[in-house]
Amino acid sequence: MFRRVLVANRGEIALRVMRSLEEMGIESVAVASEADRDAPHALAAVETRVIGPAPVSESYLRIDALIDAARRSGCDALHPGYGFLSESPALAEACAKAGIVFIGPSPEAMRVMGSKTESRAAMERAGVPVVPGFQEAGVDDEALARAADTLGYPVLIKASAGGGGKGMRTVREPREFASALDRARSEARAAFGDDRVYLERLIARPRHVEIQVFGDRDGNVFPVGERECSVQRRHQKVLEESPSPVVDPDLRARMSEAATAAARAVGYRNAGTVEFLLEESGEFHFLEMNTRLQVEHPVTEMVYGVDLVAAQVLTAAGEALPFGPGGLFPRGHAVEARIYAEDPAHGFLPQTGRVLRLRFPVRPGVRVDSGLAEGREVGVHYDPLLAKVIAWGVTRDQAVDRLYGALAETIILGVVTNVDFLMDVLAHPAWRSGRLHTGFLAEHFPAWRGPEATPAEVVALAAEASVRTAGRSGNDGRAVPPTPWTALGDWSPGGGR
Amino acid sequence: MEVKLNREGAVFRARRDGPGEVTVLGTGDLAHPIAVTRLPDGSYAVETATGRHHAEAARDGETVWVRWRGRTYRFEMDRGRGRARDTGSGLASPMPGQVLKVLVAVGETVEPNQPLVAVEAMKMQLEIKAPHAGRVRRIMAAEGAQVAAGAPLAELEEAP
Repeated sequence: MFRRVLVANRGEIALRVMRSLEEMGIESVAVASEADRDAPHALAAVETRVIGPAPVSESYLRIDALIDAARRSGCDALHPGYGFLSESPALAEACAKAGIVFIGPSPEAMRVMGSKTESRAAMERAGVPVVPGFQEAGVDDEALARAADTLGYPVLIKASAGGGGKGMRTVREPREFASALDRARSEARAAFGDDRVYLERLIARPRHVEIQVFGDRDGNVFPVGERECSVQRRHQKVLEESPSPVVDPDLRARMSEAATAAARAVGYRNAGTVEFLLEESGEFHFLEMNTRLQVEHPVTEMVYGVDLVAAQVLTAAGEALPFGPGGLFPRGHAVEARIYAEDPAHGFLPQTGRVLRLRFPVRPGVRVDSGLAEGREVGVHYDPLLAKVIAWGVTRDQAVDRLYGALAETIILGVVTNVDFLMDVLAHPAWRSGRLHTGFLAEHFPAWRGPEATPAEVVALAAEASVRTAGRSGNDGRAVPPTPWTALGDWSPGGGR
Repeated sequence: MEVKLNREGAVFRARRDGPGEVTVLGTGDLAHPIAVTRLPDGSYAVETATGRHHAEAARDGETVWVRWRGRTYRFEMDRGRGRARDTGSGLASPMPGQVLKVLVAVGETVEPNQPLVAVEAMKMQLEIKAPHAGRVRRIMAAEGAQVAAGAPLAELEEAP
């Protein structure tokens, strides 16, 4: 087993990985940018290596700095978390070269699944259903237009080198095809330096359902149930649950079969997730495979009673798992809410600020994964995900009720967050009945606003709090310009605690 | 002492009669003192018709935050000093971030909706577009600079 593991990430996921390592008796080494020296994850490890300035390109995305940190601190393995370099074959290869075990799949599996076109071709060969589409190298625009006619409108034009919606165009009618193709190509050229595109049939009102898979040290690949992640904004998930409200045992078996076939096709080891679009008809199509731990892995952990991070570490160390295909029993329902520093009333724009008050829920069946601390600045350099609140219940209703209560109990003051918005989504009849699709938020919450009325108690609280400036004694180095107001100080005699 | 607070375009006034004793003004006959107690952990207890209830509130600079019954409220303190900045035809950054690119030059004539400045933050790119036709009078954004939400980026002169 490993003695020391470098946790090559920050925030909630770095802390979450460290907790499993600690339980396994393995020492954690953290990496931190200069801005993160005092971040909770940097203070939780046995050793912390500062790897560069705040911008991610100068710190968390530097393979050389990570390998150097692992070497200097005597780590024998590296866990990449999610995001950052977690799906980078180059990091996995650099680890191998340095004699450090990369806790994840092989670079080859990452490379195939990281390419939209290669993974699609590999899935077709493995008999995994993909979204009906057209992908052929070197065909001219006219051939593409003919292919669109054959597929049937509406169609999606997607950049071959793409991602994040760049170079993507929806075409509803044949006469719009030529100009949409031009724009998709020029956008793809600007974003990726590659204007090749492919076509896909547009699936109306799909659900996003994914299968957690695991490949053990002996090459057995088995499924660990599904997660439904249809509630999204800006193509990013905000609420996830397991099981899906619409996946029955038969559909689960078929999706699991397809997912494990997908993973086997690339000789997959370790934890991975196969994402599908699920149509109302029950037809499903391969979307992509994420070759890493998912943000929403806790819902699977709660329903199956497993520790996926521990399983990742065991597999990478060549050890057997405490569970296998025959030993996994789902129980109840779990729902996760992602708390973001963003403004749901204004296009979900990322927000910054200093965390003035922070309190997380303490109640039965609730887990909180957070990387936040009171007094810390939420800045522009990193992902605005602040914390995840996950609730388990015997039934979906109980899990949702618990999550709602847990969010009501969550206090984050000083930064605008989506907490109140998520509570309204959880209370919505369409969410309650499980009628979900990837356009759910756009359909039901096109113009969400915060509370309209301002109760008198709230004004009284604001008036009382307005006489106290939150303590500025922290080491953030920011001077507060004196105003007549602050000069007045605390009004309450003997107060000002 | 009176406190003025703005929330979503509405102005609220309250009178602080003593420590923890606040009367919300402008509510007519309903105006009565509300007892607000600051607890040792920095949170608050509020006296209501149904008893004492827990609440959170905090101030940072000119902003006051309140969490009450599972809802979050944000107020801006109003000093009555005419603080509201008239930005005229100034265009402000809608979010904190980094100026990615300045797409126009001073003196340039622009069309409505023409992108002027691109700002990036946390995986998102936004273009600040011209709200009307006109001429670029001033550019305050420097490529690569970090800007706060509301920071002026450029000024437009309306087309004659």
